[in-house]
Amino acid sequence: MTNSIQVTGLNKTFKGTKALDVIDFTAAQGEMVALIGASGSGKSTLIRHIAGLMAGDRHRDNGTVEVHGKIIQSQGRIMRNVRQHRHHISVIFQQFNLVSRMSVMNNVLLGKLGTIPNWRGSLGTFTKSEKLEALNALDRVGMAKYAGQRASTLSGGQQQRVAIARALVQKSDIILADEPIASLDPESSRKVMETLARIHKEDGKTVVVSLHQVDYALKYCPRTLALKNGKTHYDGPSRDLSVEFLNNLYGASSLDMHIPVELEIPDEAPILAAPHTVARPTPKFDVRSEPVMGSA
Amino acid sequence: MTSHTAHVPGTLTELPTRDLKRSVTTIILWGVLAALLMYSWKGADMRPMALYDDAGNMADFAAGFYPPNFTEWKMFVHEMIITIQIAIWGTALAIVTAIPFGILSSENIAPWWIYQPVRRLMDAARAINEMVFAMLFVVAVGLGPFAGVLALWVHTTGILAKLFSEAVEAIDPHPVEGVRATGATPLQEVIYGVIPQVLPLWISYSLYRFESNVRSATVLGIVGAGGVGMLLWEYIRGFYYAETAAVMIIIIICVTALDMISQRLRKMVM
Repeated sequence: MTNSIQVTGLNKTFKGTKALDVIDFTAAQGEMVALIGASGSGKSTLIRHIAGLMAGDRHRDNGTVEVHGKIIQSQGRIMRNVRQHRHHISVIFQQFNLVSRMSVMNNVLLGKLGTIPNWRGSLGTFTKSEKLEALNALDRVGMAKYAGQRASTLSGGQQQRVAIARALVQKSDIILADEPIASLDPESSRKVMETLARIHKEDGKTVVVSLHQVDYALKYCPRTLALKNGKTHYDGPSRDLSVEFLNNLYGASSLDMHIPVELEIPDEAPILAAPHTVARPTPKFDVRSEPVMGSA
Repeated sequence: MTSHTAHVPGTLTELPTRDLKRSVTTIILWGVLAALLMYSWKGADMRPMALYDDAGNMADFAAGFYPPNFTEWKMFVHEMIITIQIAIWGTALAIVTAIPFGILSSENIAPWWIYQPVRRLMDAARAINEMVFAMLFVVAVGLGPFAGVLALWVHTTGILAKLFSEAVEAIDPHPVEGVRATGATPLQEVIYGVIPQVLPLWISYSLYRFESNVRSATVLGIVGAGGVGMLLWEYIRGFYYAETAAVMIIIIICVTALDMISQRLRKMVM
């Protein structure tokens, strides 16, 4: 059986820095994989390469990205027929990427563009069954009652759920989600992640989701791929991830990591690390930054 | 940790020193401006004393405008309406052509070998005043309003294409990527990703150009391209200042009214 996603030896360099360094990654149909790593570790870059929105380094030795056995890019060139493959891959973005001045319904209908005749897509003439399909997709993410509203009137979490409905209408087997909850509040984040997990479960779609928050990765994704400086740092069951490993992954300097509370063992809380601050109690939020100053 | 001498906040006694380089630049810029004005004095035949010496003549001249003669007002209004109609068609045609040209001269949509030539073409359409185009079109299609429409069309296309493309270049690229990811064609990316974002600005620019075109159309008649300008030209050449005053008042009223309406509309779409 061909893999749902197969990335082989992929490289990408941004102005001399390796964003992806010989990445190998495969996902079987129906897997839900979390992609974690510090900012700049290559999570988004990898997703954008799989989606065919970004090409790797132009290099004869550069690897390939295949989706359902069809080549998306190879040797740093995106295939000419990528447009036909794109509708097999739904992408969900951090900034939702909805057309804010269009209605929620029309935004969802855009998911049909890859599969209907060009002239019909360009004129925006959608059939009744297509409209019903869009409405039902909205219903599945709990947004049907907002169908007539402009996308810009919705909250971030609601917009992201509309984006998921757009992905559903695409009828793709793969959903790539690029930091889908990075700009959402905790409650919206939970809703969006739950929606993704439910769709994964009900439709058997392959879901690759990059996350900043490790706790969400552990909660929703059985498998985790951790990237560090563009290299695969870990690829395996999420439950085997340890605190030490995560500390190592993000580095002590990272203030934006979200390690689950129950895992956080303050065995080395360095409250007294800097002797000159003994006189007054160190504020709580300083704890993590202290070792950085001490080591400088 | 570096060891600074303890500083108590709120006890500064010295002002920050002024940046010498910046002051020198300012002085030089003012000098250049003054030099430019002096250089242009002679070429522009600047004779401010003439305003004083010929004050008597000017008073006589001004007196000729009063009272304005409105006996032929029906004809004036008729010609003014034609003027506005020229502006309507000139602007409408220009909007239609400026959309593709505007998109094709946007850096973020077209490759350089398309947007560079299209931009140069639009530069040319903009560089030549509509009066010049009107003179050319009068030769080509004969005297009358149609020559005026064509003149406004060409010149306004150049202006609107530039304004439209500036709006396109300032869009948020995220929705475009969202549309692209669904497997849309490049044309569909523009239709759904770009146009909805720029539409309010485009409408606003188009209305603004319509205002300007009504003003421009009032003089197109001078070169025979129809409208109220023809009347104006005949009256001024024949020293009919009372009639000239009446026509000017009608132009002022119409242009002001249209400006106000268009401003309202522009506020509504933004």
